[in-house]
Formats: sequence, structure tokens, C-alpha cells
Amino acid sequence: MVFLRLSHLSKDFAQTAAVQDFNLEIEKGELVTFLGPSGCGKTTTLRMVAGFELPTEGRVELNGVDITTRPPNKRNVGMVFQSYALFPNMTVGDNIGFGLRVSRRPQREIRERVEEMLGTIRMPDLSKRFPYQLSGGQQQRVALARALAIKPQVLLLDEPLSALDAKIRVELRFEIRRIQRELGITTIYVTHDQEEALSLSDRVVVMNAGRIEQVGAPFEIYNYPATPFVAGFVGTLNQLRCRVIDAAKGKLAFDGQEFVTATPLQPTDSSVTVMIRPEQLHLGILQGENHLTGKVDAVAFLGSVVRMVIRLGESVVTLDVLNTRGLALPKVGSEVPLSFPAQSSWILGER
Amino acid sequence: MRRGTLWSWLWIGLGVIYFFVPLAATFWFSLQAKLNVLSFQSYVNVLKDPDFAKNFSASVLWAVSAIIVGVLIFVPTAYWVRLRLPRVRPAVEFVTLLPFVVPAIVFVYGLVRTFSRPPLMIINSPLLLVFGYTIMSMPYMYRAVDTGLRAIDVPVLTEAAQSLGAGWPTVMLRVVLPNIRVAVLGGSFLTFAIVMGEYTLATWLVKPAFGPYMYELGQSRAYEPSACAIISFALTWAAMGIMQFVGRGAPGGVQVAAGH
Repeated sequence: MVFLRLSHLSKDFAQTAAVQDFNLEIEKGELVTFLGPSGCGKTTTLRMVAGFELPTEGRVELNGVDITTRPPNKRNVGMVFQSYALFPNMTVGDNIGFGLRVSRRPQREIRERVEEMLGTIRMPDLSKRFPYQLSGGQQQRVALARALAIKPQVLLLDEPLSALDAKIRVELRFEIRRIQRELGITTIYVTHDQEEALSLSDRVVVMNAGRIEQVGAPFEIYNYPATPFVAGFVGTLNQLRCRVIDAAKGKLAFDGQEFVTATPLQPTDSSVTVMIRPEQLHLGILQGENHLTGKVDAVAFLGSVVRMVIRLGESVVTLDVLNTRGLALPKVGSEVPLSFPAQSSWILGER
Repeated sequence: MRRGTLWSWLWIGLGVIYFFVPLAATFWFSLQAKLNVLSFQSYVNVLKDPDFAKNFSASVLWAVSAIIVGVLIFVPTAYWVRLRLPRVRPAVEFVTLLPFVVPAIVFVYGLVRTFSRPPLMIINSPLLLVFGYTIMSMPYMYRAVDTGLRAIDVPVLTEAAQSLGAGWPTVMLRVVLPNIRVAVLGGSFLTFAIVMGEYTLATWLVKPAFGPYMYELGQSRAYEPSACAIISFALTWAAMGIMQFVGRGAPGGVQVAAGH
């Protein structure tokens, strides 16, 4: 059942279109991420759902009710901001209970709900603290609890982790997902961080220049990008400009070296761009796979993976190797063979 | 002691001398009402004068009224300008500075001319004096409030409160005002200090006030004006002390100080 429906949403700011013809249907309990570079319209779309921006065109329907022009304080939509936005004059407990006090709920109910939320965010003893006495991660947990305390129909998160440092960011990411699953709350999550989007979402909406580029599950978005923008924005992708040698056999030439692909090809002698992810390329020669030879341009040790840039003539490809303790890192400037299976390369959108 | 520290102390010392010598001299003078004996006679004279109490309490009333009117007008205005009309800020700031540019005597002439004829004949009403003081204190009140608002993220806090179901009155009373409490207090005490010593408006609008009273005292008495000056100085300092006391332990204030 569709719970939140955004149809033909557009927003113009002084002649420039921030969002154009945005259509999306979100199921109850789903976590959908809006992913895109800054200025792509993801936050504007979120703010139209929250009621902070009035759409130039289109409708927002929540649970079958048109709420397009309803003021934000009448929507029962919880919002979490990048800057936490906790009320500095209130304690943690008062912050969490704010929405309930505004709607004049009985004292006892407020107290119980605050306790419950403090338990949910795993900060049971910090009710009396003030926001400035908390770390950034703790503040954002409180902001999450505050948004959830009013039992909103939809939870909106606007870059909630962007102000935090890397380790807390990953920790809190899973925490948000856990709480969201537990409560089964319909959630929209805005981020420019593709790793965040891929790791938390049921579905990802990739946006660019005010438009939706692709909507799909993280697996789909990563492995089957629909547009060049998605291919370039989500993950790292090698784009090899190749010449078709034999279309029927799937034979291609790149930098004078031949290889085969399982993807259907255009007629012989035309040029195509073949895509391959860095993790699909292997160092060394594997039997039954394609082989290319190149020169190591750079080696970056990233911890769990080692990322290498290999030069093949005029172009470079990126290759990821999983770290092991026995790994022998190739020297910069040395010649190395690469292998990849025929199935791992594909052609984008040249339909 | 390092050279830099030595110089710092020298400048501090000069500052202290500049500030305290006239004060000490005034105090010393005010103690000499009785021949050859130091006494608080002049203070007793001042405090016993029924006109002192009358004029002083009148000024307190004007000051408190001007503060209330000022807070009611300038807090929502500064808030709205920050939230929705950032582009008119330079214009608003210019307007708030006008009381510095227009001399009080010109201002009071304007008030008299405008409000001594219909449609608004309120020349004899104390309201005119209060509104006049509100305008005179506008540079201090508006700027204090505006600075207080700068220290908090007004748009985001407003949106956070709205998304939790708060309407405008709740946003103002529970979120905005408590977080700029120290700034509002600062503006209030500046207003208080200005109104307590103000002379021109009270004289021309013929209302009882502390400023004209002190002036008259100076015309006829020798030691009492000094005593009066010391008393009003002490009261001003007491007001600052109250401000410090109320501001202390205000989480909004502390957080602002720590965050910036």
C-alpha cells in the first residue's frame, strides 16, 4: 500500500528550478534515501514533505490525504537536522518531551514516553543533561528521539550524520536503521554520501539537477546504473573507451589489447564505452578470464582494500584488492597483469 | 615579569585611574555636607526629600514600561528579519540607529508637533513619553536582541519546533525568548540606564522624572547632587549585578558563550 505519494512535485526559486516533476511512491515502513550532489534538489524535496517549502506544482499525499499546503506544525512529521537543532535552553528530557508538551499531553504520559525514547537511543541516564554537555553523536541521538517521541507518521532525516566524525557516523548509521526497523516507521533520508545511502536504504533515489535519475534497491543502483550520472556518482567505475573488433564474439580492443565481454555489442568497428567496477579486476593472471597488462601509477592503502591506479596507454583504470596480511603490494612503475571475467564488464545505456 | 605583561598592567592601571578618580572625588565631595566632619548628611537629605522618591519611582515606571514595549516590538521584529527578510536587514539597522543621529531636542520637537493635534492627540498622555523612550533605547534593545539571535540558529530551531507541532506563539515564548534571555536582559538594563538619566524628553513633555530632578537639585544645592549621582551609580551597578545573577546558570547563555 502506498503511504506517502509525491506526484509531479516541482519547486522554483526565483526562476531556477530546484526540483522538477518529482514522482515517488513510498510504502509504509520503507526507508528511502535521496542521494545526490549538493544542489540536486534532494533537501528541497524533503522540505516540501515537511511543509517548510510550498511546491510550485504537484501534490504531497500522506496516507491518502492531500497535505501539500498544510503547515508544518499540523503534519505530524518528525524531522532531524544536520545541525541537531536541539533547544539549547532545555535538558535532554525536555527536548524529547517538547512535542508532547506542545500538544498538551498529560505529564505522566510525557514522562513515560521520554523514558522510553531514552531507552531506545540507549542514553537512559542523560535526561538531565543540557545539549552543550553532550557529544555530537549523542546530540543527534537526542534529536532523533525528539522527532520520534511524537509518534510521527513519517520520519525525515536531512543529512543527519554529515556533521559527525567517521567512526560515529558509521555507528549511528546502523543505530538509525535499527530504530527505524524496530518502529517500522516510514522514513526519508537525505544524504550526499553514497556509502550511507547504499548501506541503509530499502530504496535509493539518485537525483541530479532537480530530477530523479534512478530509483531502485542499493544492489540495483550499484550494479545496474540506468544513466551515466548514476554510474559515475555511485561508487567508482572504470569507463574504457573500446573499439569493437568482432561484435558476434564480443571481442573488443582497449589500448591495443584484446578482451571479450558477455554484453551484446554494436556492429564491428564502432566505438563503445565499457564499464567495469574496480573490485571486478584482479591482479595477476587467472585462467579462463580476460588479461590486460599495464603499469602501476599509484597504490593507496585504504585498510580493508588496497586501491591501485593502473595505466594502460593513454587511460588509467582503478583496481581494488582485498587486504590480507600476506599481500605483496606492487611497486609504482612496475608492469602488472590484470584479469577479469567476461561477465563483469557491461555497457551503459547505449540502448 | 615579561615586557608585555608589564605594559598590560600599566594600561589597566591607567584605565582604573581614569574611571575611579572622578567617582572617588564625587563620593568624597558628597561626604562633606557638614563642616569639617565626614558624614552621610547629604544622602540623608536626598533620601528624605519626598520629590526624590516621586521622581525616582516615576522614572522606574517609564523605564520598565519602555522595556516591556521595546521587547514586545523589537524581539518579534528582529526575529522576523533574521528568519524571513534578511535582505531588509541593512535598512532596518539604519532605522534602529536613527536615535543616535537625531538629537533628542529635535526628536522631542517632532513628538510635540505630531501628537499635539488630531488624529493622535496624546501629548499629555504618559504613553507618549514611554513610546519616546522606547524609540530612544531602540539602538540598544534592537542590537542586543539581534546579537542574541545571531548566537542561535534561528531558522533551524524554528523549523525543529514547528515540526514538533509548535505554532508561532510557542516558538516565540518557549524557543526564541528563553535562548536570547541574556541578550534581552542586556538590552533591558541599557534601556533602564538611559531612561533613568534622561532629561530632554521628560522636561519638554512635562512629566516627573529623575533626570530633571537631578538637574534642579544641582541648581539649588551643593552636596546633594553628588550624593544623588553616587546613588544612581550604585543603582546602575546593582542592576548589572542582577543581570549577571539572572544570566548565570542560564543554559542558553552558557552554551552560547562556549560555542562562540
